[in-house]
Amino acid sequence: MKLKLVMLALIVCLILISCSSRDGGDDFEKDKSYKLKVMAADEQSFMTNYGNYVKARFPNVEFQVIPINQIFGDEDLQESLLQLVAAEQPDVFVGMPFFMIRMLQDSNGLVSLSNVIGKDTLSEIHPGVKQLMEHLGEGEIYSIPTSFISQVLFYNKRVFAEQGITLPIESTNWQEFLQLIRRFVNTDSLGLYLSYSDPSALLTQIGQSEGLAYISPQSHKVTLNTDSWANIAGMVKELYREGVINDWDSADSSDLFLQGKAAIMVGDSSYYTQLEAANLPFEWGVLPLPGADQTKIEIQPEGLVAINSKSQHEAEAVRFIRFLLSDQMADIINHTTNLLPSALSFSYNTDANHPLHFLYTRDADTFITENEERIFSMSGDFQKYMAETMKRMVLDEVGLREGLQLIEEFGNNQTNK
Amino acid sequence: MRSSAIIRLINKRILGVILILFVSGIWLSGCSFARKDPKIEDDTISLSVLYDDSRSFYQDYGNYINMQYPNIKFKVISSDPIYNSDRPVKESLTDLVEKEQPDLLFLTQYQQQILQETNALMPLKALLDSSVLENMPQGVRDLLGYYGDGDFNSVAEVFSSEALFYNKKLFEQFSIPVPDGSMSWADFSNTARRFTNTDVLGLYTASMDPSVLFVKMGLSDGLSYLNKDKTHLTMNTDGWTKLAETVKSMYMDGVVNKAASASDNDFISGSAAMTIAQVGLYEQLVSMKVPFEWGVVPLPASDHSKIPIDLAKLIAVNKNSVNGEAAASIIEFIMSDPAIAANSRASTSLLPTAVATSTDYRESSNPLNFMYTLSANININEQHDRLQSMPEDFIQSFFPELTSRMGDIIRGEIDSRSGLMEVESYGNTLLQALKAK
Repeated sequence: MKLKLVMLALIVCLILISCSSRDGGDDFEKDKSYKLKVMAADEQSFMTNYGNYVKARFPNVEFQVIPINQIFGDEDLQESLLQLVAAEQPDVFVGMPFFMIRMLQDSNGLVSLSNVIGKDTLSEIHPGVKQLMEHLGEGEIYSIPTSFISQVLFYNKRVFAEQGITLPIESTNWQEFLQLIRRFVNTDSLGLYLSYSDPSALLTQIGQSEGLAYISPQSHKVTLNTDSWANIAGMVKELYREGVINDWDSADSSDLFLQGKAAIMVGDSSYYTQLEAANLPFEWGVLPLPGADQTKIEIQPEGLVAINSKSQHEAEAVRFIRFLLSDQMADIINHTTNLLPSALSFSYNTDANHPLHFLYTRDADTFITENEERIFSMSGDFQKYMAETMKRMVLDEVGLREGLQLIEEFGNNQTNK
Repeated sequence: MRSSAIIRLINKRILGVILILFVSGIWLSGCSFARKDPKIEDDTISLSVLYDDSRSFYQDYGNYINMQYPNIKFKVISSDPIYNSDRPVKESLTDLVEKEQPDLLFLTQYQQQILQETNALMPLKALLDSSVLENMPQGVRDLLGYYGDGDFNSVAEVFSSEALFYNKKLFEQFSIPVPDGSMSWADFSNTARRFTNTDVLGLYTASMDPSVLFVKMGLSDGLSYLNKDKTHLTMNTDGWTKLAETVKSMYMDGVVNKAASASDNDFISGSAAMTIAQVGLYEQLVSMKVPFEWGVVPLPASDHSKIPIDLAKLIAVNKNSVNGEAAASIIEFIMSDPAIAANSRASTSLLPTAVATSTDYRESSNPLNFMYTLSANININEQHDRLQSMPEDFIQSFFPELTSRMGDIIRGEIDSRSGLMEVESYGNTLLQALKAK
């Protein structure tokens, strides 16, 4: 009799344990009420993108959203942000731009997620994403992106076949890539189609993927008049002059790759989804972007989440973040944003044959991220000047070295102001 | 122990084990404690869905369905290309459905009508749980029956209704009795005109075009202007003329706004006694916590048992679908899921149709209760649908003419009857020209 009772108790216990671990022992408990204060762009977008799904799964969780769009017009954003946080004391920050996260990070306003999120959750995140966030957090992870953007090459198999050009089976460096593009000269097809065709942007992209930067880290000194940069500028110029890349002011703004008129296109995961849905009459494929180091990709973090260091509800905040990184949310995020979820449970990672699978197996190119940040911090005037001067270089209105020198001087005069 | 006792002990044991297995079976299968529909919870089910586009589908429904049923794989067929082609919508839509054969379709009223005509939709009465249709708000059910030609070939998860909102404080201030659900348009006009020579508008209209109000009144009163065959236009009638006079008197007494509101919406800002608006205004007034008491009543009509009902989105099943049962189960889920209802309400301010998600509104004390109990003024939908199928040329030529004529009538440059006669003859000329093409 006693044995039967003990066995009964054991079975019930096992059921309870298996049931709760299926739900995740750290999920919101059903018989409790939770309230989380969230700082996000605005209430509607937070609820639509995240909140409603949390509530669908855990109806006992209430959100109070503090919108940050109220401070967007302010002069001193940093001051306004820190004041708003001090006044409202949100528990979590969701979907805020990285520069704001950095402001909070620098003022010790964020919890180190490395310490609280748990080994299990950490192991379920894309290692490259983790690596990037550790780098941006100077050794600690202060925020986690629920998704990320990374660009790839799309190629039109039919165009390659029609021109008798061998399809590349893997990506190499930019030199070889540009040589491939130039093989489409004097054909009906473009070698490379860019939805935003700008020779200075292309110059920068090629340079930084080869480990070159024109803005120095500390002093933000601009150095462009070098052999390396002149070499790249020369290659870019040839592309435009030979007409193998689309012009920057082309009257036709329609997507030439979609129309089957270009051999190669640069795009991200949302473009992949677009191509799939378009049921194109030609076979297409995906390749990594060219670059000297093929073990790395540029990772742009999106949908960042972080915890306020002054939050009184850290445990709930952690549960919330864990749910946002769950496999359920991964599918939801991809379906509604077409971005790449950071969760390794996402099908692009679990399916080794998926064309975008490689994006989950590479490290983050933090050099590119750093460089992008530095460029972002340069004035709009400089970027405009650089773009205009590059165009003049392509049009032979100014020599290559001369042009690079002019841009360099403009940039350094700006910094000195 | 006696053998019978041993047998009883063994039976008890077996019973105990069976009980444990039964209980654990329930728990292990549905640990989330939410009731799942056994028809769609196992195995991978692939369903194709006609929707505006993939992202919107997942945002509005797909993600919520997948949270409960991750085993359902959707393929979304976008209806966007229909609106990007130079072919008439009727042709493109029919072709798209014919080619892609979506199982589940989310349609506008007009799209539903097109597919109804080509007999492309599966009757739902036998497919869906009877409670789904039985518990629909009266007006929604009326409209679904109308769109299904007596059958039910689609359901709606949300609906809208246009109503009359009034500012109680302003009515009290000027000692004017508040509107109620038994007003005619003449009563309405008289009420609005009592605010002449005050600093308060009698009526705030978002559209500012008097012909919009004019047509709205006429349709609400059961009038029509385009005949069923769409070959003839009639506005030179006593009914329309009387309404033109009513509109004229309101504008002449200056109780309707003539220009865009400086504050976006004079009613919300508290400087208009009444406004005619969709039910979304209700949510807006509540969430903005406006500093005045307000009320909402049915729109004036000749038949007070009827109100305007709009179904922005209809859900239907393809007649040729082999996944009809699964599609029906998904419809039932959509109708019952509180998360979907909350999301719909937040993004669109439409009212939920299902009982499970609209219990508050169904209380007789709720100000919007009448939207669940009154019948649909189907004349309004009928006239709109007739107009929808007219070529753009007609719409873009006729209505500016109507607006212009109404302006003349209001300014007294032409009497109502003559003005309407001119509009009518202009419209018929257009129709004849169309026929000739």
